Amino acid sequence: MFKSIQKILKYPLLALLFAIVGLQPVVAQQATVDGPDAGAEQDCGLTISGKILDHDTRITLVGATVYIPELDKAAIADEYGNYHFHHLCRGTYTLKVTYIGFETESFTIKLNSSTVRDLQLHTDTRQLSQVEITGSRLSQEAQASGTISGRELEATRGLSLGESLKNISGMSTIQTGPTISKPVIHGLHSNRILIMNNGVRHEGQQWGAEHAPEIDPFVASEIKVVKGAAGVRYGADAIGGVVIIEPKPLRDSAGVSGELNLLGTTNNRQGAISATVDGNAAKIPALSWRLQGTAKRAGNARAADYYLQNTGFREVNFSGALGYEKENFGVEVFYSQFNTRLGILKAAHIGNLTDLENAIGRDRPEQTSYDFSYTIERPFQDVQHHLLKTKAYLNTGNAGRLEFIYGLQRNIREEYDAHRASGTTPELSLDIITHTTETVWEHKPLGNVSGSVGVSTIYQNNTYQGRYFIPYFRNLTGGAFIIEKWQKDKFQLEGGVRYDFKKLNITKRERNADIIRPEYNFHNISGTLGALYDVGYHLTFGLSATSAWRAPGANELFSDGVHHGSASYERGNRNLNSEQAYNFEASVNYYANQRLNGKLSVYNNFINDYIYLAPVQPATLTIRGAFPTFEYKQADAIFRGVDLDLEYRFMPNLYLESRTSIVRAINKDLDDYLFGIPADRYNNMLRFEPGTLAGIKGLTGTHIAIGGTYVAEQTRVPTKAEQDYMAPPAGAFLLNMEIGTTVYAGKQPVELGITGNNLLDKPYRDYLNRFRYYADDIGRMLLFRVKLPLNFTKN
Amino acid sequence: MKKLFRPHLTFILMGALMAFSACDDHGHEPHDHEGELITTMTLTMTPQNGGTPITTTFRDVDGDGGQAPVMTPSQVVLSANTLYNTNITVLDESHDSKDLTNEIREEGHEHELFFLPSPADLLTVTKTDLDKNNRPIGLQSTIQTGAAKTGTLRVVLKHQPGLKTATSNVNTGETDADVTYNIQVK
Repeated sequence: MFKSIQKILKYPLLALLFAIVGLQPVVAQQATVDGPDAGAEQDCGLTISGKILDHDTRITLVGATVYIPELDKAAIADEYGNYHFHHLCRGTYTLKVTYIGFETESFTIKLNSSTVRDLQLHTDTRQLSQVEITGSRLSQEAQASGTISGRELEATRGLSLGESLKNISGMSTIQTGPTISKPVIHGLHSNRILIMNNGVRHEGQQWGAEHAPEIDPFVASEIKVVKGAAGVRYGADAIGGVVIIEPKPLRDSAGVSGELNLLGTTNNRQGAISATVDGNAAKIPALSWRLQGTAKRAGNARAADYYLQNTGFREVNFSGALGYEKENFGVEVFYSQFNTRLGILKAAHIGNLTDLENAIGRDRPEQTSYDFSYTIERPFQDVQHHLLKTKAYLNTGNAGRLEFIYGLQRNIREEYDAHRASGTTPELSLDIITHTTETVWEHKPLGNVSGSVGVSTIYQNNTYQGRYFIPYFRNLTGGAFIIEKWQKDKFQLEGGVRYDFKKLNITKRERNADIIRPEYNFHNISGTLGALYDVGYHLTFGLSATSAWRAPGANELFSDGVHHGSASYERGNRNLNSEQAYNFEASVNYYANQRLNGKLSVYNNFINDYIYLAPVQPATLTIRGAFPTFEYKQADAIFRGVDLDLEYRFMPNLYLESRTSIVRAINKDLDDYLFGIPADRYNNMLRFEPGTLAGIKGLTGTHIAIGGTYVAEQTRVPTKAEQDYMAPPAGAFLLNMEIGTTVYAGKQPVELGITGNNLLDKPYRDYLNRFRYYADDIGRMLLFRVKLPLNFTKN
Repeated sequence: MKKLFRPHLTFILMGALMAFSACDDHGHEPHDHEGELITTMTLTMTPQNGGTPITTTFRDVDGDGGQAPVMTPSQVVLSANTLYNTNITVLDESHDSKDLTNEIREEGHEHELFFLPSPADLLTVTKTDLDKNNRPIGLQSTIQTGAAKTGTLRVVLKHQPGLKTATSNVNTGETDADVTYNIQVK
């Protein structure tokens, strides 16, 4: 086995490496930057000036250094973030901007007259560049993306991963009661989006809409969402997009620091504590470490008018990282464990269709006589997720950078049903082990071309005990990709191609007790093309065409049984093909302006052979009566929509933030709408950031925001076949608020924050909450946060 | 040049090795265990004035889906204007036959059977057994037939934990079984 792989991998890769390295000197010669044009008419009284800004927060970076290598001149951004160079001649200059904590970036400017140009830097995430395999971030990819980090992320602490992402346009969540929430990108979710957790593709039982991602959001210092098909960079399944969760880089200077987060909420009376300690050894500067842990406990959530019985949850997570980083090589080992017990709304446990119709007929669940309680009874889920990651990189001098990541994950999901005489064992226990590897070689820029090639593998083994839901399976996936980006002046082009295969071996006990072992083989090519044009005047246009594919999941092929909570009989289809998505997107970005900034993106995601549950006849008769029956079918579908982000500044510290997400999804074969698509969503917040409040000493970073989210009624539902038992709920406006500030206890900063959701305690139901048949959504909730950045280093 | 590439290969091979060494063949096979499955519900009706007991059984041995459930006999024949002592048995016959009737009786305060004849005057059912709170259960009952007529009797077993009260009814709680028997009274 070992030898044959060596043979397979050795030759094509060697050839590729030789080919690219061989090209380098030729291209490099062409790429020398034009110096000041000595021959042209000299006009040497020109000025270039502008602001240095943080790309994400638009905060000015006071003290950033701007260096022009052609002139060997440097300037430092003043207290307003402004830089100036005077008495320049006409010509083309490189402005190299450096600032601690940010990636060094170079901007090429052709100077014909005095120019004002703002320069933006990106937070340094190079130590975590596994997902940023395009390496340098001279400008963003053409494909739309959204990021939450910093204060915006802090304001979501205590919420689940899915809920934290709702502040990005194009995002919504699919929920199963108040405890289970999954991100939805442009109307797609579960096994159609990928979650990259700390550089490793998150693998559990993500196909299930009621299986929330097993990730502790406290680990993240940045969450990025790539919207639309992104198969080339991230591999199979990324049909709807990718959620990228990045922790803070390990500490790079000697000392020990930490962070303590305390959180308490009203409504479900959640209490949470999360602590992080970071260290770097003074004697071995290359060695850094981190320990992190989170514990949460919440009781029954409350809708506006009643408690939702059995909706508490508990969570205990911890992680540790150890890194050894030298200039030319480094290794990192990371381990995390996630444990949760999630209560499932009692009222949603039903026996048959009549029970469901009774529940729909009631305006509140039967089980509301109970008071608040932290007790979690059946039905509930117990989920444990382990991740072990090792990463190694090598800076290969002339050649570039080689990085290797191995991830081992184990996901154990136990589902406890609410049956009579249930013992202490779960009725269903799913156990999936996943090994992932990724080897990426990021080559040194060859002139204007930068990029990377890579190989990745996934091996999975799924087993279960208890009742049947999905079969045993083994899955072997392998893929190879190349992505290159060409950039010159105001124009950027990117292109990439990827090949993947997936081998799926099923072991299933049929109803007649025979064991069958079918094997499925899928393979596909994905591609990406993108173009960005910087018009100037803080305006860029982007176009992208991306693709991705997804093999049918074991559940879509082999599920066979009554689905809990939805009173339907679900049947797999053993003849499904892969889905193939082609996503086309156009975007306009108007940025770094004093008053109005915004981003508009319009997309069309064509999904061929989209797999969906279609109603079929006849109904399935059981001892609990007849159940409507659904079977997995395929049809060509289109997901199209608009994401709009707008920001208007009335004053430097007072601005309105507006986000609009609209998606339409059509089954082309039936010429009908698809089921379960997010309704139109509008989010507006008025933000006031005085920084320090007049008259109150020692308060910094003060900010107040008030606004709301309006989710319209979903009127575009399937009409040609009965697919739902209840009309979509009415639209709802929810009033939200955020307040935060930093106080100082001596030298110790203490960050305080309050986030309020659904302040008017409005009773409402959400179309994407699978329990909307049974109960209202969650009522008013206030989250109180305290964060203590700690520094144990003696100065 | 040759030297330069050695570390790369090591890396790639490391990855491949770890990925492929994991290919242990899993020889074990799945065994499905439904936690508790009601597969069978039988009504045994014994005429109070003597005579042969009459049974009707709804059976779905392989659980939801798969083979269609079987009703034996497809129609049960009762005598007009007769009083029957009726017992209901509930079984799990998915693996070895297991009688769940006693379990339901012991948890009688959380369970109740409801009888819905159609047309309504086909027969009259009176529950004769009581739970520890003196609420009816319905595993034992009497059936009084009326005049000759053909119709159905729907028998619904409800699980009503914490919900069984003087006002709870067939719409309360979760349905454990819901079977409609074809009945001819002649």
